[in-house]
Amino acid sequence: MATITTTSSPDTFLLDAASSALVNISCFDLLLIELVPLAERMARSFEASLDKPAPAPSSAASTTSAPTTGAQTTSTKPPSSASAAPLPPTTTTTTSTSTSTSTTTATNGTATPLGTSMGGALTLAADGLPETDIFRDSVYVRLERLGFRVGEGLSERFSRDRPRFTDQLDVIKFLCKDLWTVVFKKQIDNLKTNHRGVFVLTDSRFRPFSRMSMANPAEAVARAQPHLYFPCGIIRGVLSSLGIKATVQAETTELPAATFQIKTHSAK
Amino acid sequence: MTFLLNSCLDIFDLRARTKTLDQDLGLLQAIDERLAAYGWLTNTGIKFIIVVDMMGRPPPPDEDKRRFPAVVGLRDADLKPAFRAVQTAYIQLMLNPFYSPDDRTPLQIANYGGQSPEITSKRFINELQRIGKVWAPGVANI
Repeated sequence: MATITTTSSPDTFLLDAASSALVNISCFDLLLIELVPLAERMARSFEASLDKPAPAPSSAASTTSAPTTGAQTTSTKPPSSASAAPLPPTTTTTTSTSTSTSTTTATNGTATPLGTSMGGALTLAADGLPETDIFRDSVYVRLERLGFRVGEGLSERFSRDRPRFTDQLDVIKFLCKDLWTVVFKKQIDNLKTNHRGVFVLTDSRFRPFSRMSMANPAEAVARAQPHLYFPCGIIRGVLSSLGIKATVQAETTELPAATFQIKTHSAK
Repeated sequence: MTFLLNSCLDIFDLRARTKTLDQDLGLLQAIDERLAAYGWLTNTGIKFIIVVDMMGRPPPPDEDKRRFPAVVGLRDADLKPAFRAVQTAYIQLMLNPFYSPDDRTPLQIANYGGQSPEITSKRFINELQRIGKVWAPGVANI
């Protein structure tokens, strides 16, 4: 009977204030989580687009070297200038070697991470393809930059009616209490600092991780790592707009928990 | 005008050190009998400056003069609603996903030939103009 009422009236379900808030939060969580596969897909296409131009410079170089060979043939056409004939081939060889080195470096760039991952534990990304350095970096950069922008906006919006921050710890507290509540609906559980510019924030139930689990915990931890990039960017964005330049690293050792390490640059 | 604004920046620095409680920095400087510059420093380090022309403007003919009595002095608190409105407009601008604040880094400004790129968002400019028109001493919220 209860199931009939809930299924038959989705409108009342949505209109209910508490449940609509729940829907909002769930949608936001899903969006936060879905960001990562999106960035991974974009990184894949970026990687694919990198692979394609790798032949393209060589073809362009071959087209550039083709005129020189053409110049060589034209120079060989007049048989009198025999001394001019050996010069163009040297230029073509230099260009060809440069293109060959560029192509080898390009192939190295994609191939060596593949080889190391093959030699190692064969880390696979979420889409089942091997995880290369380019892929990982481009996912990281993309998500981190997105988070940075979001963090700048968030801090602008939510630091509005606050009294002025007096020191770094004040800013970090604002981040842990207010902003974390805004984004993740809970506060940071633990904040440690060495009072010399290093802060370690521990969230023992990090919200995006709350429903993640796999049969193999180590694999789950590795798979969850990209989901920390975006929060990293948020932290960095918030801190930078509040006047602290910092590097942020995040890691997780056990799944619902996440640790963020903030190193501020002024305190070197 | 840019000279005036730049001269205000130093006062911003001085005030920010002494006045740590509020975002409102009050009257920065009075340039002459007419112009007065008021400052507002957000927690994120954004500085707003409002320059008030003390001559005032002629009241609209259809409005009752008693509603706007002649103002002799200007208190710092009078500008608070205006600054709040400006800050709201700026927050709206920051929350616009198509606005990229990264274009305003010192490196970019150097690339632009020393000129800082202005905010070109039409919505932001319109909002600021609206604030300038609506504001008068004693207006509580804009």
